[in-house]
Amino acid sequence: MIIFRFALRELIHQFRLVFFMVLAVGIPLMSFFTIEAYHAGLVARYSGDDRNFLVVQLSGSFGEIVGSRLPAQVGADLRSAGASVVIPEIHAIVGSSSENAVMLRGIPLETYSSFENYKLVTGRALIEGDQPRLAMIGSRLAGLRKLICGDTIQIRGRDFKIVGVFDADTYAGNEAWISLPDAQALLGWGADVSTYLIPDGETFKEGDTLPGGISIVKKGASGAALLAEWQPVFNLLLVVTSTLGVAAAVGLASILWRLAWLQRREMAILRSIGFGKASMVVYLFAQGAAISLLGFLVAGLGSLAIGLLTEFNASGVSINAVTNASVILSSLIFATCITLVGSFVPAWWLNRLNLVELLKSK
Amino acid sequence: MLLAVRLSVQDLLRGRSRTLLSIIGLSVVIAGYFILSALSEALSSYLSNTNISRNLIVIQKDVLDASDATIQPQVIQAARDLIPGKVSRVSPNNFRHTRLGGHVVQLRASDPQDWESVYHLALVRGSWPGDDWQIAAGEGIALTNNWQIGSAVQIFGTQFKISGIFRAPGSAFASVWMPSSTFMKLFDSQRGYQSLLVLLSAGVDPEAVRAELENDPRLGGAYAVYFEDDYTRRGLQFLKDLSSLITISSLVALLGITFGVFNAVNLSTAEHGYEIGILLGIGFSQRSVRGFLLVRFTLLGLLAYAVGLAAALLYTTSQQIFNPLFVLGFPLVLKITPEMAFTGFGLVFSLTLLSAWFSTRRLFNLQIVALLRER
Repeated sequence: MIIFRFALRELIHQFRLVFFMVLAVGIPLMSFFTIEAYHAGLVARYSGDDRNFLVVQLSGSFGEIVGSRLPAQVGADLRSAGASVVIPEIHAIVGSSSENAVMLRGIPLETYSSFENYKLVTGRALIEGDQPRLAMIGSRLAGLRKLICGDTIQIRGRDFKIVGVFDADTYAGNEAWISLPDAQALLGWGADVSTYLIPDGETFKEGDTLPGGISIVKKGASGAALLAEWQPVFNLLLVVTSTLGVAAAVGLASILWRLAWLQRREMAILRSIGFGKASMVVYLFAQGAAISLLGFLVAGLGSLAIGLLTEFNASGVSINAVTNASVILSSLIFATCITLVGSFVPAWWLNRLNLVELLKSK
Repeated sequence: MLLAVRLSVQDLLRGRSRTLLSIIGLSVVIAGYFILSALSEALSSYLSNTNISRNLIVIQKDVLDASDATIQPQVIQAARDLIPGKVSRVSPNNFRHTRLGGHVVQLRASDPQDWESVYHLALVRGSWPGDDWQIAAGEGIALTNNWQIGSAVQIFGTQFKISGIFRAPGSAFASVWMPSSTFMKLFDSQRGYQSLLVLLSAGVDPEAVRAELENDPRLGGAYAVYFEDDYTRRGLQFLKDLSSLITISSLVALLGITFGVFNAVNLSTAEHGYEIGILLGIGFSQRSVRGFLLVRFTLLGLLAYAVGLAAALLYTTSQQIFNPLFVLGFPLVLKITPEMAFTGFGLVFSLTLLSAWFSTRRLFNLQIVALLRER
């Protein structure tokens, strides 16, 4: 306990140094925190697999988002092959640029509420028998465009009246949902659709293929594939952040070592009156942990601020930083690694030195 | 000055382990800065690389992904009617995103006669497809998937052979091309072509032709006519936002140098307060002692710069050779340019100097007696 207090008192004495060291540790931690938070945000947007359903789509496409178009005949073929439920959907991205893009979903009004995960926030849901040109939109799309129930949203040059705003954790929160016939008319697709949802565990299973380049995948596979596309960039960013963490650990080790070196005689006296070698470890670890903890707080606040101030919009999907337990835990582990390396290396080094020589140092 | 450099070098060599530790700490930050800068440059270069021609693109209005679009024959005819006066060539084409070997790939199709003249594809190896079962692959995608001439590739349930590997500007670098006839058979497409590339004749006013085509009644207000570079930029705007954020991150990372040098100078002066007091006591001016400290830490910063730059070059080169980066079919080529190296040098030099100067301020506010008491 004496060593612990001694260590912290020395830190308070060197408050200027500590302030800059906290920032030196806090910046790599903040980078790590922010990258993890954005990664968590991306995962939250593009996850949401439903084990009960399979998706029938054009092979190699991101059918649940964009790029798949199937003739109506496929639906009939699925039914005759034994699928008990066949749900057609349209998924497309409309707009002329990434900024004004809208993710569009055409849904069968008679059945969609039984398989789509959403929570109505305001207004009402689309129902069977609704007149054409009505839409319900995700809360993030509503927020971005500042739209409320009763407003109109223009999709491919046509006005749709918003009857409801819904919440969804996934990219569906950025979508505009309209009836399937409206979507088919809007895109000029005739009776074609993007995908068919079929129940898992019946005639078809994941990985099956159908004639005409059609494949059957797990629901959520499109999002998982998009996530995998961005993973190399996140990996690279994490490599850079980890190297910055190494720099922070080296900096911390250097500072703690030098601080201990300045106090070497006092430390030697303590050891000569009975304090063990472990006391040097406790001394440096207490200082390292205090600096890293303050750095962690700075990093957390900085990352939260960055998350609040920034948002990415790519092809109609907004990606926010999400600070969840996993992000906090991984950042804490990162901070602990910096502390351990930064404290134990100088402690080991200093413990190797001869006690008599240290006592002679003044 | 030379004396200061000599003394600094001797001092750095005397405390080799500390010097090494300081260099490692600073060089890692510098390497991180260069890698982030290279990534930011790779993302933004996509936007600048798109200015490759005066071509026009005709596509359905409000369609972001060309794979969802269709183009009616009368629209193609409207463009063809401008030949030869205003337009030199019209190339209808098809586009699709697909996944090959776990990567997203752009699948493109048009008349092979247009590939070199309109789309600027340059054959590097092999030959252009000679039959319906052959395709050509961009260098980038061939490298990622380790494809060679003759490699078999499964697309949409059909086996194709790579007949040629080409080099191309922009995102076409990572695409797979096939003749339109092959595409139509493969996808059994009754919808026909999806967009139209219009090559303008020399000497015409591009904006006038663009407006004339867009207002042609045969387009019926349902199609938009873009300049090719503008269209590509619109689709890639999100890369610019990401690039800006990474640039900011790289600059924030460089702050690590400021804090690193500040702390190193602070501790060094705390350790050597007595010696500095003696130097001042025997007649050295504050300016000369501060000059020595600035030279010492600038040398340290420059050594770290050299090590950091070398480490970043090694990393980016090995990444390019062993594990090239692709995102949504776009190759991200990490490259540290001379401009980046010069900018980095300027930043490291000035940040080191600034933080060393700032951290020595307190020292010279103390009296010599106080410095001599530091031992």
